[in-house]
Amino acid sequence: MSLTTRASLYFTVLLVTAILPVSVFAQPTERNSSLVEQLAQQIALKHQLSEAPDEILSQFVQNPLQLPADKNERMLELFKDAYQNEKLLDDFKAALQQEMEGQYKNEISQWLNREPTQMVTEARQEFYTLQGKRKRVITMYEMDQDQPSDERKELISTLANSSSAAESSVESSVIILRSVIRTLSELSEQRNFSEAQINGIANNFRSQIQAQARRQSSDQLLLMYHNVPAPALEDYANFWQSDAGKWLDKAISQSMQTTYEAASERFLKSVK
Amino acid sequence: MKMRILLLSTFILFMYGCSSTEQLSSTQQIIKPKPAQPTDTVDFSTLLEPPQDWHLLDEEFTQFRGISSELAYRDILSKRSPQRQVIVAVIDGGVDINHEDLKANIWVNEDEVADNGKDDDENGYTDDVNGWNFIGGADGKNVDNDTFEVTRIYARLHPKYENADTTNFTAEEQAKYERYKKVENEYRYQINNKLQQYNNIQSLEQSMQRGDEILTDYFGGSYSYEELQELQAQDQETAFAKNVMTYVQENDIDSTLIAEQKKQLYEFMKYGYNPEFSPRDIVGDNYDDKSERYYGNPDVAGPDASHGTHVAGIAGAVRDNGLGMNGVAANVLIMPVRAVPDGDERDKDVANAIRYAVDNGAHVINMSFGKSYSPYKNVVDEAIQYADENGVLMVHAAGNSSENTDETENYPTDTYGDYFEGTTTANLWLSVGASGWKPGDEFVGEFSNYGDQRVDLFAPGVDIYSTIPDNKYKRNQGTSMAAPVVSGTAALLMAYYPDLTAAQVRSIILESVKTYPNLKIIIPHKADAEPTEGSFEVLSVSDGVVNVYKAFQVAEKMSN
Repeated sequence: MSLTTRASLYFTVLLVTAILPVSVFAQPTERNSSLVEQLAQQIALKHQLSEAPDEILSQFVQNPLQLPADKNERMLELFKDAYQNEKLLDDFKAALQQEMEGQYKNEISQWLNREPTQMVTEARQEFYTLQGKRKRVITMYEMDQDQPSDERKELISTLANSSSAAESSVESSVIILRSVIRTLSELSEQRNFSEAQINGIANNFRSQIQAQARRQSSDQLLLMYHNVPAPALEDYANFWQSDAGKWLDKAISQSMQTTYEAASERFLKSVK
Repeated sequence: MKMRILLLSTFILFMYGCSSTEQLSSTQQIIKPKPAQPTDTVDFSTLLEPPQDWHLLDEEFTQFRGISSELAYRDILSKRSPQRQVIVAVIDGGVDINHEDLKANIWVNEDEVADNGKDDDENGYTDDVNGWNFIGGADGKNVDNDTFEVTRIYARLHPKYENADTTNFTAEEQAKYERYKKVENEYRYQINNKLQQYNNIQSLEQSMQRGDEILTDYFGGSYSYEELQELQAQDQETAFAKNVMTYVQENDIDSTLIAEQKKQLYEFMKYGYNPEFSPRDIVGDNYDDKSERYYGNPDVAGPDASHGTHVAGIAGAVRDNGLGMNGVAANVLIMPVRAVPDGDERDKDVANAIRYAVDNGAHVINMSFGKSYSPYKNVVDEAIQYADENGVLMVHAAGNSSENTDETENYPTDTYGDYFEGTTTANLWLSVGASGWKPGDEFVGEFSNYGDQRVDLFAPGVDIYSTIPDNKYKRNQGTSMAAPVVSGTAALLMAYYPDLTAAQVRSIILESVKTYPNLKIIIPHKADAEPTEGSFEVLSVSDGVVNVYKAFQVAEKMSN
């Protein structure tokens, strides 16, 4: 072996060993990233993420604690900025990407590309579009006139029970509410809430919405999947009851809470 | 428009130099009587509903701010006879021409033979014995629902601009794009708003059911408003129930109202805001050809004649027949022209309806409809100009969106060309806002549009009792109800003073309004805006409310 050959081999090995760890790491990260993108897009997570902040915001637009108007307006502006949908989505994707190092990547990827899954997730995406919102009213009215069958309700109930979305949305709302109360404490000269009081309010709020969360979740799914055939929904429910589904459900839940915690920090920081 | 009034008034004074009071002999003056005794005080604070004919009453005699037409009939017209029959075209969603209180006053095209499938009078419309329907097909099928104009424009422009790269747009293209963005924002707002409204109604419905259950348990059965107020809630649930049911009772909310509201929102979303919906195939015209005039069918009632029948009754229900109610006008004939679906009317149909009315002898055209966009405004402008040139008075409802139409577009309009930039206007046009029966700051209908430059006058438009299909009657409110009060007034003047031109009648109506110089009212506003108080005078050109008695006083002066 000539020196040139040896040198060449040496550099090749060096290059390979130098690159290998990076590319081994980079490849799954890219795959994770595209899987997270696909997940976020297919199950309309962007819209799901904005639901809880929008709900809390709508409660505080009326200035229920009678802050001076300019302060309330300022608080709402900062809130909108901290809980901006794009930021939430970025944070969520980053958090989920961390979780995605587990063993179910391939299973999830295959599941996302299956036809029944796509039927369900297309309905999910449409639900949040402008035309989807228009159709919601039509479906709500028609369901009012002609109630869904017991079988359909049962199927939807199974689907709602097979994920922790309802519980997760309660916890998300509590995180956001806490941040608003803390902010009000900062801004209001008359109202100052101790940590114990904030906990009290949060617990009270949690117990109030917890009772309705499961029913609301079922009602929403009845509406969202109104036109999706039962076999596709059964297939969708089966996945969430599988090990991979349970794992994904937990990962999404945790990522959501991480996202809201980060937004909550942003919000408090901006007020201070 | 203010300027127009001044010019017309000057012209009339010039033409009728003897119109000052001093120059009239006592026989040429109409002196308004005073009540023999002070009228009993009406407690408006507790009154839930006004008399059925409140809009026709005289304030001095009854305290209800009506148009004094019954007083005019009693004191002036009972001694005279009308000189001619006046035709009021009602361009609307259809009129029940067989209604017991309208039938005798429906216009008949004497030159047309019913149902013979021939255009006997060769006016272009086959079998148009009682009017015409521009939103039906030759096969007898009818358009019921249609889209809103904002939806039609959105549907047309969205595919083109949805993903448009605007970087290389010319100024003209950019302007078109801006227009699309405005429409898109409006469309988006409406969808979100209607969804929110539906959700709110559902929440209220659920709260109402729960609240009623709790209180029925608490009281051991039904309960009155007073009992509800006396209830001292000891727990959160009862307090919640008390709050909800107090709100429900104070706002007259019941399951019927909720069902109606939900159905309306459903129809808005299913048809009005649905960009994929178009019922135009039913009509079978060449919709792209806006100059096409001869299409439709002779069914002037259509699938839902409730709005048009109510409007027709206000202007021209048969008087003194012992049935239902009295119209404002006597010796009037109603010419139904159907052009308004459940949704927004189309410019082409509006233009053709106006032309039909003019060509077939209408003296007054009532237009209780309107919209915020008019993409083919030029065809409507031409039709309005045609009516104007032919001496036909057009009366238009100002609209029900609590907006200032000086600043917000509302079509059709008397301004030719651009809504804001146009410099010429039709002369024979009256835009009418709605007043109510409550004398305080709620005098103006909270829904009514207004405009110091664009709304000419107000007329009663709240709790108006009139005809609806199948020989029934109902109270309705809206500027749709106010416009026919003015149309009826114009028709009445024309019937008794046949020599007056439409311009003179218009001028008389505006000059003779009853004004309320010191009246402060709540300016109509959107539900999410803060209420503000203002002077009633700033809401219209004439500053007042139509008054038949005063109009006859002015007409009498003018005619002598």
